[in-house]
Amino acid sequence: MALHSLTRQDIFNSRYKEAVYSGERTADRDATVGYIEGYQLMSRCFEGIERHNVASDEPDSVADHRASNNPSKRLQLIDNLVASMQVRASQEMPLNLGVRSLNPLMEWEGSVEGIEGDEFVARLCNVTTGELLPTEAARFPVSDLNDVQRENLEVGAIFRWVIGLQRLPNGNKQRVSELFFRRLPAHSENEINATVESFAIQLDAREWDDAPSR
Amino acid sequence: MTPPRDDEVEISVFGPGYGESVLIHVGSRRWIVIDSCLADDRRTPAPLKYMSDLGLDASTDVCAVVATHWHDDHIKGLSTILDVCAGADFWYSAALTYGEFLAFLAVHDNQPTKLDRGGTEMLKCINLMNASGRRTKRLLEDTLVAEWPAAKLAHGLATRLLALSPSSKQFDQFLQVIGAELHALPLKAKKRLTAGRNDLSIASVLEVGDLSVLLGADLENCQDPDLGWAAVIHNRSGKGPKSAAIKIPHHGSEGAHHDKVWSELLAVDVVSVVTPWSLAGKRLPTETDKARISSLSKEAYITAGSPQALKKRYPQAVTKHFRTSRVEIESSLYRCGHVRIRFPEANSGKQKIELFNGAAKF
Repeated sequence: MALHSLTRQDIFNSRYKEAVYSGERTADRDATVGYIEGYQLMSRCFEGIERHNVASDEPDSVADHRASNNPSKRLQLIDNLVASMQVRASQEMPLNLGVRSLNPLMEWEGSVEGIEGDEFVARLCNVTTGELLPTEAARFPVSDLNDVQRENLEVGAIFRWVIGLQRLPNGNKQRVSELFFRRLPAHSENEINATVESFAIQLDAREWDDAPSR
Repeated sequence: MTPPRDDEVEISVFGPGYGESVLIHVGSRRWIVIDSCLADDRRTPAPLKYMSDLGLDASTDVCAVVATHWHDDHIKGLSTILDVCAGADFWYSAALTYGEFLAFLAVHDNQPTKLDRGGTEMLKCINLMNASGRRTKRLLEDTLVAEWPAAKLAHGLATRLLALSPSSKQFDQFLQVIGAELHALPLKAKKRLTAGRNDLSIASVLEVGDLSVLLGADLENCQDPDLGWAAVIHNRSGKGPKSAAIKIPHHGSEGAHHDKVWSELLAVDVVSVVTPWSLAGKRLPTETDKARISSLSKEAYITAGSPQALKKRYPQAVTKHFRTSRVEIESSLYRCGHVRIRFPEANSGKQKIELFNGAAKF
């Protein structure tokens, strides 16, 4: 039985997507490490899906999950998949053997400033060196983006750009450039109204004195 | 470096290739900061570093800090300036006294990112002032930002800084647009690009006796005569002396050029100072802009030249990747140049222009 209905999008919808950005909450250097660990985890997930698509040895209950088309069950399926992969990784192979890994040379955080034809323009901040201000600006070809990246590409979007050396399952290395777009949260009307109200209260409490400075 | 004499007026324009700040000495160690950008260490606001180099005490000598608008290239380090300049009033757009606009900045800049955001910095400034109980003041056209009678300053000349924009019509239109955008769901927490929003920027004029200096901020033109530079010209023509120097608006762009600014508000022998702007191959001022400004000015200066080369900043393995990838990347790191104009005798029009840290004449 093939899990062909389980897609990369399911992974992006799962909590493992968050692992990619888990390092955000820690120091810069840790961020890079956490980021790469998340990347490796996602790579394993993808490979796991591919492996399952070829092998047909899953129990019927998995097929039931797939057939149900229930989002929460799909996420549960991914959890099971990751758990089984972690067990296999520890039992069958040393770390980085048989899976892709990325050794970053440099990493930027980007902000999309414009989309012009087949290019998008972004300001970049080198997070590897701990910068907080834009250090570069760049034009990226839109045609190089995959479907998930294109879905999240919009003016104002933020992303990570990692360049480095990737170790392939056969042990070879290749130079790679990876973009990871953030899914931007949307505000509800209630949240917006509450924010407006809180500022209005602050402003009402102020007394204004617009006399010239001296 | 030596500080200006007490009877000397100084206009210092700082610009690191993306960003600008103007520092004014009106006389008798009274200083005004307009906008903020960072010095070469990318941490210290350029005006504070300069005042420190001069041996001045910014905490007591700066009397006013003005935020012309909240865009990223005008506000880096502004909260640090306010924190250090404890004796200064904070002047900002009256639009920021509306809850809807503050909410607009807050929801758009609420991104999970380390990158600085202009709106975030502006809210930080307002919170800092509120927390310390210091005075924040609202700006619209014709607002008097600072004023000294002749007897109060060593040069013995009446001095004032007057806001020229935004017009009340522009202000009303802006708040309507913001209100509509704020409630147009779904509203994503993403940076708002602000193209076309520069007409809310605060241009101003410094007048010291017969000396006048026009500070253009990022004010642009609009079709409507009640908006942008057209509104300023309508309001200011024939009032006060023509300006001997100008901080060119909006990095010298064509969209901020108005013939009547040059014919009605500026002296024939005006000195122009431009701060550049760049984004992935786009640069302001363009060569055409430079030619236009040069032809209209007695002398024209730009605060920053070329960016620091990527190959000097990145290891070979990384620059090799740049060369082989389909990504066109360019450095955004410039030295923070400084154009300084001192007026030893404000009423005589004498000037002394000095360039520092990569600033150059056109």
